[in-house]
Amino acid sequence: MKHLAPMANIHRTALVDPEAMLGRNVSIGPFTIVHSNVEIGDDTMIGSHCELGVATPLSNGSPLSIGNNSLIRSHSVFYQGSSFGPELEAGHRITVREGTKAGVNFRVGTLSDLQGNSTFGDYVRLHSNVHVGKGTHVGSFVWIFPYVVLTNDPTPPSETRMGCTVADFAVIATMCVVLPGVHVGSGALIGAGSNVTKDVSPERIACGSPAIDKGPASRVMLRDGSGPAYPWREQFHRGYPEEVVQGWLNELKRFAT
Amino acid sequence: MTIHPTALVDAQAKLGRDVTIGPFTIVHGNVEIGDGSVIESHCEIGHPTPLADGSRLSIGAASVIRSHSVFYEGSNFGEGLKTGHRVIVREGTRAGRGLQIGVGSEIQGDCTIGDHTRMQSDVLIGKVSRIGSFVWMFPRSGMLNDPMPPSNILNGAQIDSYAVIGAYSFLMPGVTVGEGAFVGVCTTVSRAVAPHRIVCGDPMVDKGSTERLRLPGSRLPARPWTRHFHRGYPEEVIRGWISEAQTLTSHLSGGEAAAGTWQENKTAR
Repeated sequence: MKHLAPMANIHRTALVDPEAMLGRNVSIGPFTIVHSNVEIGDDTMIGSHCELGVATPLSNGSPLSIGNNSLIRSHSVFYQGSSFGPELEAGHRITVREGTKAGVNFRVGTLSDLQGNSTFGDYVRLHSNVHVGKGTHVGSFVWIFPYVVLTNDPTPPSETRMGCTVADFAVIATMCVVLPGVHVGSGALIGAGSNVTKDVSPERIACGSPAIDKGPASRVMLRDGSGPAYPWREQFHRGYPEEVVQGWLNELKRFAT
Repeated sequence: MTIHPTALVDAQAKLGRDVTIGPFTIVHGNVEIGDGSVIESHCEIGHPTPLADGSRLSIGAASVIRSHSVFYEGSNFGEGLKTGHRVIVREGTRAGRGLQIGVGSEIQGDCTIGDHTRMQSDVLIGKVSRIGSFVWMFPRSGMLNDPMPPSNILNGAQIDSYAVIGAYSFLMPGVTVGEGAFVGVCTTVSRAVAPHRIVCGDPMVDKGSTERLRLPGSRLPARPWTRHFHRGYPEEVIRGWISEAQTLTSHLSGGEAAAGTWQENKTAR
């Protein structure tokens, strides 16, 4: 990582603190502010009107670190004290508070609101307008669809923080609310508009308000008649690296035999 | 006073002592900002509108407006207003002290809000809503106003003091949520909620008195929340809550002992 990118990639109206650590070939859009406590990896693009590395005492001085080959779209706000692996992809108008840790190729949709002190594994996909409360833990390859809210306070307002957990490969459809401390098991499917009040076992479907168990996720068939829709990693591979997909297929094959 | 060189501040705007205006922010002329307030980057403050009838946007002392927020002219806020990023506030909003508005929230104007009310992310307040003091609104909750949309009828909803509205819950036009009531998550509040009741679901069901609520892992009552949750409220307010609780306990159980339990509980935190 080099200190200061070539000026050509920083728009003349952008305000970049000289202390910020920018990798090679980083570009910063018009009217964007980059504060001092920020590290941006090589070949990353930051859109216009963003603010990166907003200072907060809650970050205990740790930097905002964004991996190589990332893209942050316009009007997004990232506080200091969070770290993202390579290939972060963020929509417009995202807010990310301190203490958020995400792995490789985290995708966050437009207007999402990550309140911080949360972890995300690798290749997690959040669609637009997802709200993640403090203390949430999300595994790898999870899908969360628009307008989902992950809560953390069972008796609001109180000082009790019980973040929810979402295990690997789980899918939470649009407009769901997951209540404090609830664990969504690996590969589980939560139907749209559900209010998830208790734990969901791995590979099960839950839906409704309150959400109830509707059997194994493998019951759901693809509408084109080509077979079961879940586990989805059997039939959906777009955007994942080849070696990851190969790993899934080998694992599923082993499981089948 | 610190005005960033890239900010555009109208010469008519009245800024108090030690006001900070961040980069790329626009402050229009019909604006008054109290001492020590901070307006962060990319904001527009005092956006003109004919609906404000020329009345000013007034923001109390020691306020913080976070980046990318838009405030129209014609609203009033007491001291210590605190907003998240990307908040939108329309004309005719009248709020007391210590209002907090979460990230992405929208207040559509012509409404009243008491003191120290807190709204979390993405809250929607329709026109002509009425909100008391010390109210909590959790993410994506809101107040509606048109009983047969689209129409010209504006029938605002009301939330009384100390009430708590859970995530994704909406008040239908004209309904009132009583003092200290608790609306659980994903509730459509389709009729009035009496003070200190729990309601939840859609269709909404009454789940009894808020006295039933217990803090997880203990038998301590979760209500009134003013007995165990004090973060961010002014000292004199907290002192008032504590002495009120003590008076009440010695009334009810005639015991210093019970009052002591609260004190111990508080110290334990």
